[in-house]
Amino acid sequence: MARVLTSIVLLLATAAPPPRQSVAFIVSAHGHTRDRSSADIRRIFLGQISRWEDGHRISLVMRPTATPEGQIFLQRLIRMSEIDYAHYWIGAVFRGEASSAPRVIDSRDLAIKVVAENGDAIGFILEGEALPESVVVITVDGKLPSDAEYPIAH
Amino acid sequence: MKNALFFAAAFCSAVALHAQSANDGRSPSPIRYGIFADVVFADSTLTDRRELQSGEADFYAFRRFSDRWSIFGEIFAKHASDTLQEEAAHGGELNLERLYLAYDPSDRFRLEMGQIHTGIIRWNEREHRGRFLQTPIDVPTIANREEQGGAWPLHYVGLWSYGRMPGSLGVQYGAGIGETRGAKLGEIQPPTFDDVTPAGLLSLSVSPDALTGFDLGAAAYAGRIPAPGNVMRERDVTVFTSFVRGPVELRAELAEMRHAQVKGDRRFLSRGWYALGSWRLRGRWQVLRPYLLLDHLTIAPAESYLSAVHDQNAWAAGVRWDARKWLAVKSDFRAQLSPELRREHLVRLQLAVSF
Repeated sequence: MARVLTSIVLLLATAAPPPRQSVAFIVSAHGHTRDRSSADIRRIFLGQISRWEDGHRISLVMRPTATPEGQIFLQRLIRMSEIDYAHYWIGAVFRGEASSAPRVIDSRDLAIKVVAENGDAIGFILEGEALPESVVVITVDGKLPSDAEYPIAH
Repeated sequence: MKNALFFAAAFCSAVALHAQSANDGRSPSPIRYGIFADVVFADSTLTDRRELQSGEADFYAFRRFSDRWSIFGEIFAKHASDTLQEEAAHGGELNLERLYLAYDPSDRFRLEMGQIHTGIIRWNEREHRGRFLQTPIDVPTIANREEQGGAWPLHYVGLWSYGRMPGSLGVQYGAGIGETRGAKLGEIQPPTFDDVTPAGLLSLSVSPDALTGFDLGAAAYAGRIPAPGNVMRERDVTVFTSFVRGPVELRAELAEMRHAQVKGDRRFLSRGWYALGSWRLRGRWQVLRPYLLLDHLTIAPAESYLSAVHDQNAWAAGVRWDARKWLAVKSDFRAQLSPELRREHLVRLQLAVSF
């Protein structure tokens, strides 16, 4: 009986869902925004909102779509496949709506550094690790990435 | 026409140089350019020939001179086989697709000046000429270029402003004015000092935040066709919608074109529509996107201005394979009306690239 119970407990433990992962959107500490709706952030990363409220052009910084944060970003926010998102940006430049696609940076630290140094930039990383004071995590729909109701997570 | 293009190019260059000299301190971006190209191989039940049906190349270049000023140019070349019966394309054609100077101080207002798209057909606004970007092999018939048997006025020389209003409804507007189309189908008239016949266009669409990926809108075009001895008023209206989210792509558009004689009582109504549905597969098959396209056009009987355009009632079922980020291979089965209005079945293969 004890063996059976132990087996059930082990099964339940191994079947537990993986830990929740969130994408944190970061801007420079001197940046323009501290809170945005998820719809706004989607439009920003589709180039449909291309300027901050003060008129400065938004600079987009991305992590590769193959990373965990890239996958969550595509599935939970953009809602496109990697191929469709790449084609979307080719089309946006072709239509004259955008001058270039988002800058994709392989290194997490470099992505943070680029955002920190550019007051007009916005980027994203996987939430959890400590960040330097030169960048801040913005709230999305009023929620922080650590909140249970944060929308860009899985 | 060549003179007009020369003056348009000179005007754009002069304003661009001014914009560059009045730069706000940010360095201008480098020239960005790209090319779309495709070839279509077809096996038709009518021609009984397997052949290279068409080949297209679309070259574009874009440069931002300052934070607010940019210039965009696009040239389109096409070669078509005899069986396509596009006379303009036999042996190859080369056209200026777009050339404009853009001023965009904000997302709410952007102004384009030069040869631009009228925006009356949404497909043309979204995909332009790059067949690499679109899911199916074909452009729907209502979005065909004027020179290739298209009926709607897709280009004009003039001004076009558009913008996106803030808010959860995602309202986008467009308004334009330019020279109306020419006496012959496919003729894009530049405005001249002694003869200006304006055409106007308005469009409005919404893409609400609450329904991610959904878009609904309408556009209206008004102009005159200065056919000698038979000037006609033109009133076109289009309604379009799309839903693109996750693996799903649904697009539909209904367009009506009304022509009425100014000195006479004859009226003509032409109508066309298309519906496209596609689905990106999942997992290891996600490079595949099967699709179905329905394509219909009814041209007003006895309208001489559109005599080169024929009715269409077609459907195509196929699959797009994104072999590389820059290469799409598409294959389909298509049933359509030939220019002689005979039923025709085709099996086709398209290679489309983007660089």
